[in-house]
Amino acid sequence: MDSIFSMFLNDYYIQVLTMLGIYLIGALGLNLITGVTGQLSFGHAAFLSIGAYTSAILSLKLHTPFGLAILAGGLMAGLWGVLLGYPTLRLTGDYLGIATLGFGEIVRVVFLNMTITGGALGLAGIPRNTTLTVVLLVVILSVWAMVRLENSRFGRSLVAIREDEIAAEAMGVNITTAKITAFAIGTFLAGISGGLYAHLIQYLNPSDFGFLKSFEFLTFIVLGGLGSIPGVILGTSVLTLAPEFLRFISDYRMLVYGLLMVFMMIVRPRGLLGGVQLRRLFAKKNVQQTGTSASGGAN
Amino acid sequence: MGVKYMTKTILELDNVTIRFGGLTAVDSVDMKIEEGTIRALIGPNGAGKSTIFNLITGIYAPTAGEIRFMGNKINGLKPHVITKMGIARTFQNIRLFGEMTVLDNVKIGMHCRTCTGFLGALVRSPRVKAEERAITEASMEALKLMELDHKADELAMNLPYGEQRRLEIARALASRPKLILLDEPAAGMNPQEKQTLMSMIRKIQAMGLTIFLVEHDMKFVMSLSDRIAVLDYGRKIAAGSPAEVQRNPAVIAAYLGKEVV
Repeated sequence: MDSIFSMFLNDYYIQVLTMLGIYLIGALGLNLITGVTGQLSFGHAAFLSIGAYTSAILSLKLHTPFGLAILAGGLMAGLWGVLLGYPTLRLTGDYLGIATLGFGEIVRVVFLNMTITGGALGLAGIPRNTTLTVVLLVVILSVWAMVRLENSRFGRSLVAIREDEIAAEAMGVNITTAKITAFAIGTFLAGISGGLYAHLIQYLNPSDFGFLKSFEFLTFIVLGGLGSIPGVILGTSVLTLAPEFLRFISDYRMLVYGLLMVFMMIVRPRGLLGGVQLRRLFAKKNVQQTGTSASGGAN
Repeated sequence: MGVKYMTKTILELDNVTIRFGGLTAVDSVDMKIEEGTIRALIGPNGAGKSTIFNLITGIYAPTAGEIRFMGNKINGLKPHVITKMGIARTFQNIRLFGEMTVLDNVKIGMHCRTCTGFLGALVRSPRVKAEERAITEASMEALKLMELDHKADELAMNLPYGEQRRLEIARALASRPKLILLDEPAAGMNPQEKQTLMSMIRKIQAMGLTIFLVEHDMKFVMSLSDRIAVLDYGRKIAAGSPAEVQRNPAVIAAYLGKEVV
């Protein structure tokens, strides 16, 4: 597969696309937490770093097979997601945002001071095992999983929590369990994303996973449209590729991101593709074809 | 009140009290609701009617007293557990899932009667697919009952007000409750919509459900309810048949003020 890619694309494009895929996996995770379930998280990068360091240390110290190391990174991030989620997901809105922000900083400082992570010097020499093929496979798998979740009983309950927590609970949804499950899945994906990142860049430094990185992930999903999978793909693609093709503004990237956030909130607060769902796009087509009001059943 | 048949009590409030700081919102309220009846709870604004609903559905836990549903104590249980036991509700200030379709709103009502978790959603086995079909069918049935099936694919927030109220009832029905609490179901409806709603509520009663409603429209309450309880400043000041309640001097005083002689 990779040899096919390299026939058509030079190394630079392959690297850019691989990074895009890695970001996309993390963004899909954050989308489940913030976009679908409506739980604001400012600490997403922390879960990426947990996955990244876990898998990198496993690779370096124990020579764990690549796939296993990545999976372990994802599971570790998911575990911390549950540990953080249990006490904090009772909080709502701003408070949850502040708690996740705090957690993100704690994780960064802890990694900065641990010896096994190499502290401020960072962790170098991680084997370069991440390829475009691997990333592409994980992206496809993640998108597939997210679409399935979105159109399921579980996915519905998450959207219901976002729309009205009290009503969701009154309708029989166990909101604590549902939120923690969503958080676990979202942070698991962040961990996978982080692990793939570590094995692509080959070097980890805690400062790469600060608040700005978390904020970057938020802009990905806000630009595309919170809760919309096509939106996440669009938002992440635009914001990852644009700086590459517009090198001249790369110094002002964060400035542009910030401006974009302000602009989006004013002009299109629900994102470019806010509310767009793959399923509903297809459902609409069915209605037009048959001329009747489709009564669900769009499985 | 004449004894007709041996009726089973479905919901019992026993000396229920809740205090918020210094305010006693509900004060030693006793109530027994018989299975299959329509019970109304009326009273001036701020009398504590919605608070009683919130107590029954587990949003608040009573400071004192006990709430029993089909003989089991339910105070202190979480709302979703109580829903699963068979109590569903609507809200005074409509709480629909606005960005979800009408059908999906009702499907959420089925949540506690179904079991697919996130792993099931990924695997999508024949059992999961069958469950999803059953959810869709049952939800459509609930929508048909409330005459909303033709709006199944619209977003809930785009429905007119009266239909939103009916959608809330459909959503509550989907949880297959034994007791349904309707918090001001007719609020904001025109007379014709109220008539339709009344016949719908009677249909729900005919299905064997018990209905407990809070409502301000007296004509609506008097013609629909089997029995009425009256609340004022958190206390139950009267109870009885519509005719009895209408004549009760305490009720008249609460609504119109005391006559100055």
